[in-house]
Amino acid sequence: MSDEETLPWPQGIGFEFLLSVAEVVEGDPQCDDLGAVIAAAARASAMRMGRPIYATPFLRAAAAAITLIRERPLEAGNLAYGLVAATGYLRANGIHLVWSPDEGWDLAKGIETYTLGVTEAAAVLKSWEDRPRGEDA
Amino acid sequence: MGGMAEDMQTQTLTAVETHEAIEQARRDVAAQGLSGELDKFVEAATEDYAKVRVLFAEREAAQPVILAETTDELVARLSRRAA
Repeated sequence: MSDEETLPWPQGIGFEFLLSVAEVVEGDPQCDDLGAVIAAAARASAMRMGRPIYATPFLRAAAAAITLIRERPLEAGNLAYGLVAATGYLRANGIHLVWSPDEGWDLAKGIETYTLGVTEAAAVLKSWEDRPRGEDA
Repeated sequence: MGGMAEDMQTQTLTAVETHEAIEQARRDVAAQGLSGELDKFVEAATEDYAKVRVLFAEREAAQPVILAETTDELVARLSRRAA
């Protein structure tokens, strides 16, 4: 995929950024499938005819999370990896999120079990934006 | 089947190779003038990971892995790590 077909950071999600987040995961898991990390970055930042496939940061975060969680590139910790790659991307772009670990688990499991697709997962992430504190219990 | 398992392997990064790849990625990001942006992203992800680490570890340990490895995949992965 050429550079012209992917959104540059900060709008897009870069491979370098996802690879760095993998280092955060406890136990320093081996990356068993580097292609899945590359695919997550390419998918989330993909463009067609000059327009992003995923038009909002929430959709881009959800697309990356779905690819990471379902393709399981790391030997362990892929649920948390996919989740925090998405939330980290949104927060680094200035989007304030309020959510609990239980809500994070529900989102990650919903993605893993194919209960949530891109639009549904993006809607969950969007619902965490600018909530008053106390709603993340 | 051993040969086939080898043929079917994906390109794997060991933890050391992952660190090397990350260092290269950081140099690439620095060359684009985006080191500060990378740091912000990783810092946010690190904070969020700390928030979910214990709960996710407990629940993942208590649940079966949905996409279990086949025996061939397991043997191939362990062989790669031993090499």
